[in-house]
Amino acid sequence: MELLGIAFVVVIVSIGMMYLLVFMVGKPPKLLHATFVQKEVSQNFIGAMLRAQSRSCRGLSISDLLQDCANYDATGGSVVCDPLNDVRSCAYVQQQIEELLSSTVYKWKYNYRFRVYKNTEQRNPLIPENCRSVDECASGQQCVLPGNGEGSCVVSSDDTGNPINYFNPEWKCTDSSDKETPGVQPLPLDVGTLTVMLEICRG
Amino acid sequence: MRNTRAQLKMGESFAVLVVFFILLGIGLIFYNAIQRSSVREQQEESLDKRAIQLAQAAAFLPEIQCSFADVVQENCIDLYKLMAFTQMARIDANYLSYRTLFGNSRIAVRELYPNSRSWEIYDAAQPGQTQYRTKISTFVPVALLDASVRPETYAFGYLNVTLYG
Repeated sequence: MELLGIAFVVVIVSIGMMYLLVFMVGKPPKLLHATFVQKEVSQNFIGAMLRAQSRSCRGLSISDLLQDCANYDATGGSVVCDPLNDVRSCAYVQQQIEELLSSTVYKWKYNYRFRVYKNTEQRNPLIPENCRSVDECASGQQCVLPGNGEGSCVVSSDDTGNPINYFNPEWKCTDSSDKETPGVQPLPLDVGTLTVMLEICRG
Repeated sequence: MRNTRAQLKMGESFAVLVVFFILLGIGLIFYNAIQRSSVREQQEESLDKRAIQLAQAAAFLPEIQCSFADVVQENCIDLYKLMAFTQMARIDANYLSYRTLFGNSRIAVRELYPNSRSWEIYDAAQPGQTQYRTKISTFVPVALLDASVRPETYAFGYLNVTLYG
């Protein structure tokens, strides 16, 4: 009889422990910081970057240069930033954006994707331009290719001369990735709209 | 014969009690472990929320925010207000008044583009910094306004808010 009692107690205690184990220990803490940071960084980055005055291009802001680049993209922009090397607004602004991305979101180890596109051409951005080989990129740019599919034309390279894609490091942030609301800023053009977008993906 | 049976019964009862107390002990240890883990989770959540609160407080600090005719510009820090605030915050009396708002944290502003320079707004993490168990850093990109030139210009920078807990 006593043994039956012990067995009963053991069963009750075990059920209680299992219940606690499942409902209390297995529950992850509700951490909001990462979500907050993802939202805040993406929108603030776009806002601050567009307002910033360029380092050496006639005192124009990054948004002015992007608008010029988009209005005159056939010629690489109408504003010549470096007359000696014929560096126009498109090439110049891309280099400046790569510098900003490398010293912020890339350095902070976020998983992100940055694009500047006209109207609804998200898949065919103005910055960075799509490419399948280096021949499709402007001079001074290299084509970074993922394992398969289209790559991106970039300016920056590492110490060994290999190109680095600061617009979407290692192609980790894709359409199907889980992400928070992206940072988006539309800019008016002579014809149509230019959209600057920074998406920060989870993981 | 009767004596032996009684002893056996007592032995059984004693064994039952021993097993019961062992189970009770295990239950208490288990409960204690769960409680500890729950308290740790609550502390983590609370620190996490505090980090967000602190980042918001620093980003919207009226002392350094850009404003014109009482209209505040979001996501913008006025460079001259920032420089003045940095000087003012070094005075002990002022520093102490910000202690209630910022607690154990470090807040700095860094300009990245076009120039590279930085300012420390607040730092209460220096004494015995090694004793802190966790630190949560929040980076908030901001525009830095230079209103001393016409037209006014902006630089790109970020606010680095680190909470020590």
